[in-house]
Parts: sequence; C-alpha cells; structure tokens
Amino acid sequence: MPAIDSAVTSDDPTVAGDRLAVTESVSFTAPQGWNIDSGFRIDDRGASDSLPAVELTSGTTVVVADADNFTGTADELLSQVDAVSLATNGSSALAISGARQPITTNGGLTGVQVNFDTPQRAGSVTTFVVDGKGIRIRVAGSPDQIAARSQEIADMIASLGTTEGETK
Amino acid sequence: MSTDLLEKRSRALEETAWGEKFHFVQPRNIVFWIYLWMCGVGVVKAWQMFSPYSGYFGRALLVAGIVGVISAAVWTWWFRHIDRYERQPVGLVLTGFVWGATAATFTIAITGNTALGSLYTKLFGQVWSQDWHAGLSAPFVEETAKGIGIVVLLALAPRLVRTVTDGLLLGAFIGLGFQTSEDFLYSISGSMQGFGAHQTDGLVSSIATRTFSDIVSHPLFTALFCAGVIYLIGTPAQPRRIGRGLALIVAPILVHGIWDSLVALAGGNATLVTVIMVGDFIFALAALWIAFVWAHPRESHFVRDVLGPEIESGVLTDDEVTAAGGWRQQRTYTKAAPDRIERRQRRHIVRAALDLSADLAASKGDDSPDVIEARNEINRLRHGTPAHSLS
Repeated sequence: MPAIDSAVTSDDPTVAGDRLAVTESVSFTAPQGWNIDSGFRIDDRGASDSLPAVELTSGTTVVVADADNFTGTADELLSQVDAVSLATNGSSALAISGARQPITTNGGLTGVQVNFDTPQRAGSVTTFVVDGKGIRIRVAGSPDQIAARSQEIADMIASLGTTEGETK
Repeated sequence: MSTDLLEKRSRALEETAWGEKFHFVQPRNIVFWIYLWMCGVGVVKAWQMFSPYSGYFGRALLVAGIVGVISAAVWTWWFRHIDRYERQPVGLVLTGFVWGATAATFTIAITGNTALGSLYTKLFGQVWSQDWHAGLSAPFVEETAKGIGIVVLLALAPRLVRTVTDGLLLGAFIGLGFQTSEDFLYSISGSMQGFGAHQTDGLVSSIATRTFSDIVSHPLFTALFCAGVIYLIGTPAQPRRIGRGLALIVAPILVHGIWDSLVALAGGNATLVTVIMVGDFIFALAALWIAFVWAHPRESHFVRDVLGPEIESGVLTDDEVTAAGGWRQQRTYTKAAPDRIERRQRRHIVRAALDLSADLAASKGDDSPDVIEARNEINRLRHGTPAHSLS
C-alpha cells in the first residue's frame, strides 16, 4: 500500500484567488501554482465541523498552517509551540532565529513572527490568536527557494484574515 | 464405564485438544520467526513514535499507560470469565495479545492506514477523504492486520486453535492488544490538543471517549473476524462453513466502517449520528450473540462427550451435564431449583463439573489426582462430605 501511495502523485494546484480555511472564520490566499497537499478551500464543505491542517508545497518549500484552541497571546503561543518542538523533535526555531517581530496582516490580525536562515534550511514561524483559536503558520525550505519565494510567502501570511461569510 | 462412552470422551479430547499445553518457542517453525520479526518491528516503531514525547508529555504517557493497563486487566478478566469450557492457555492468549498490540498496530495498521488515507486524498480530493477515509481504510486494514493474528496462532498451535469458540476468545485477546495500543495512541494525541498547553484536559477527554467506544471496538470486531476465519478454514473440530465464515468476517468490517463514518453517513446531523450509532451498536452485539449461539452447540456436544462417562458412574446427573453445556442451560437448571440454597448448590456443582471436564482434558481422560479431587469436590457439594469411594 505505501508503494502504491508513493507511486501516485498529489495534484491539486492552487489557482489565482484560492483562499484556504485555517479555522471556521479565518483563511488566507494561496499563491497561484502551489500544490495543496492538505486543507480545504473556503467553499469546501465536509460532513464534520473539523478542518484539516493546510499544507502547501512548491518545490522544496512547505507551508503548514494549523489551528487549535488556545487561551494565551500570540507571543505565548510561539513560546509554547517552540517548547513542544524542542522537547519532541529537538528543533527550536527560536534558538536559531532572530528576534521576535510583531506582524499585522492586511485584515488587521496581529501576531508574532520569527525568521531563521541557516545554510541547510530557512523559513519562519508565525503565530496569531483569534477568538480563542491559536493559529500557527510554519514555513520551511532550502534557503535559495525560500529567498526566491519570499514575496509570495509574505503576501500569503499578510492575506490571513476573516473569511467573508465564514467557511461553515 | 461403557467402552462406547469412553471412546466418545477420548475422541472429543482428541478433536478439541483440550488440556494440551502451548509451547511458544518453535525454532523449526517459520511462522515463529515471522511472528518475532513482525512484533519486533512493531516494538521498534512504537518506541520511535512514543520516545520523543517521553519528556514533555511524560506525565500524559504515564497516566495513559496506567489507564491502559487497568482497562486491559478489566477486559481480560471478562474474557476469561466467559471462557466457559476449557480456558485458552495463558501463553497462547499472551501471544495473541502481543500480536494485536505490536505487529497488527504498529507494523501493519498505522502504515497501511496512512498510505490508504493519503491515496484516497490524491484520488478523490480533500473533502471526500476527510469524510470517508477512516471508514474506508481502518476496517479493511485493521481487521486484516488483526485477523492475520489468528492465522499465526493456527500455525503456532494447530491443535489448540480448533473450535469457533477458540476463534472468538483468541480473537478478543488479539483485538484487546490492538485496542490497548490504539487507546494509548489516542491518549497521547489528546494530550497534544491545544498545542500541548493543557495536556490533562485533552487526555481526560480522550480517555472518557475511548472508554465508551471500547465497548464496541476491536475485541468484538476481531472476535467475530477470527471466528469467521475458523469457519472458513475448517479444522478437525469444526467442519468448514463458508457462509457463516464470510458472514462473520464481513460483519465486523461493516460495523467498524459504519462506526468510523458516522458523521459522514449522517451528513453532520447530530441526531442522525446518535441513531446510526445506536443501530450499529445493537447490530454489533447481535452479531456477537449469533456467533456464540452458532459456536455453542459443538462446544456443548464436546462437554457432553467428555463428561458422559461421569453420568454412568453416578458422579453427575444428566441434567447437570446438560447445564454444564451452556450459560442458558445452566440458568434454566439453577432456576428450576425449589429454593435459594439448592439454586446455589446447583450453580456450584455445574461449575465443579466444568472443572472436572478441564481436569479430564489435562489428564487425557485418566483418573489423575486432580480428576479424583474434582469428583470428590462434586460429591462434597452434593452431600456435604467427600466420597473417597469415587476415587
């Protein structure tokens, strides 16, 4: 079964204007031509209320956006996810990144972001807390591909905002 | 005692292999090495999966582990309690449990489910996959992974895995092993909710949900599936019954599939989810009841053959042997007693008759010290004093 799965490629490219749902009320616009490995477009409706994590890929660059209940601030969420990441897989974005930067999206959501750039890997971790939901957006890829797609990625994160009419 | 009755006893003990011991270490049996390999791979995969969480989620792992052990102990007690005729050898039960907990879960099911779920997403899209992948992957992958366990046990102990009841009970233990590992996985997953900020909240919620859903879960599914395999393959003690075999293999796949697709089948309607869940629950329990009803006559017949000579020698009455043949017969027999004291006495005698059957199986029908002791116990229960003359 794994061999058959590996032989079949995932083919669900984004088109201009595709918005992907992160929570029932928050979504972002995906850059054109990326592949949706996981996640619902805002018009997609499943039988249950739950939404899968969004995972977009382009070359070696991967963007993962997920959400869950969280009662603290975006800054506390960043510390929390980094602590879990360090404890469970030994990787800490905070340890290799620059200072935390506040970030405000086009829709007015405020969050915190750290960027890292090592010879092997570059990317960022951005967190928001909206209506009791923590949102984490992780970006990772090879340094050259991250550099080449930096504007697309920045636009994608900046597009995070409340979904018109909500997804559910 | 009549030769005919003794021959019947001997034939029954030969066909069922009741009383025989299980030897796990079989260096000349290829299936033994395959078993070790599959379970070993499962243990390594489980270690790789859980060990990263042992630090930050250590407390959740500990609580989940303790709950898992208690849950497994309670279910084990229940399965041993309903193992009425000749209890499955502990080594064989443990071998099945370990298969379910390691090889079936970590070597086969997780890998298979992940791959099939991913394949569904690629072929049918995100929404379809979210709604249906659990219901259309887990029943096939997991029931097969656990069902292979009974085939492995058959290869390791062909003389001990012979009746449909063997399939039901050993299947229950294979399923219990699987369920224990799966509950542990869900507990860890629960503790990671909310980005791991409130481990206990998610853990408690997960344990509560799983404790309820465990009532109709892997032990029941696998008991049915393995009973179906015994019917389908056929053994010296159970003639092949293809129709029953297929029915008992399909039933748990159907129940499991519906259980995992409740929300999709109900279109997200909460009331309909409850209705379908209750219907599935009833169907599952009915299927299990039917399986036991189907399995019962042969076991009952074997018990009668083993205990038959005891009627002729006056140790047991015909009614007592009939009552020993099944729960319903036992209930009818004890209820027919005129008062409470005799009802209790009858219940104890029937239990002692089953002990005598087990001792006769262990001695292959000979008058071993245990058999003599069991006869004396029956006589003590009947008259209040041991009757050494019965030795």
